[in-house]
Amino acid sequence: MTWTRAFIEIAFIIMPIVVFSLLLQRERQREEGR
Amino acid sequence: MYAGHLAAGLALRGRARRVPVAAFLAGAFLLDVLWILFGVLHIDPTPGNDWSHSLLMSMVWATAFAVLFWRFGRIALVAIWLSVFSHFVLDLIVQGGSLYPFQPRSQLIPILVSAHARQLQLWLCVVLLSLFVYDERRANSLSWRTRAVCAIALATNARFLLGV
Repeated sequence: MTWTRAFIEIAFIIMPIVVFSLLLQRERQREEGR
Repeated sequence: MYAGHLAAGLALRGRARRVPVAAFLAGAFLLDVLWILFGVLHIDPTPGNDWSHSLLMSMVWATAFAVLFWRFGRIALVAIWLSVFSHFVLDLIVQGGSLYPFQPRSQLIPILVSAHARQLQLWLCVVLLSLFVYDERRANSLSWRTRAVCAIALATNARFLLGV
């Protein structure tokens, strides 16, 4: 595996984790506040 | 398998809601992160990526990762363990696997051997996302953001449907 391919694969993994965390953060805070 | 791992992480999230969703998603992709690291550093010479993806090693990685979340309780620990181990199970369904590093007959046969395997992966993703939506609804947390997460996760199926 090349470093370029590795960076692309890591980006494919990190992107949804960041996006989903941000999207679901509000619901989690709301649940904790209940 | 890509979207299926996302869906598995999301589906397991409902089992321990105090644990950040990022932990489940990171767990679901841990074996791939190790595969990338081992590949780029030329650590894993096995044909089936056995040091990251075999049954034995996936259990080892799952345990090592789950221990980081012991303070969230036993149920959270099991849920996180399952999020890592789900990677092996989903890969076994779609592309086969191996039992342990340097196993003489390396590859286990994929369970899902079909001309429509990619479409069936999509349905597997739908089932797991339905479980996620069910849990969100039960926790009274269903919103447009939840639906957006499902839509994005489903859209990521395009990656393997297009063979990217």
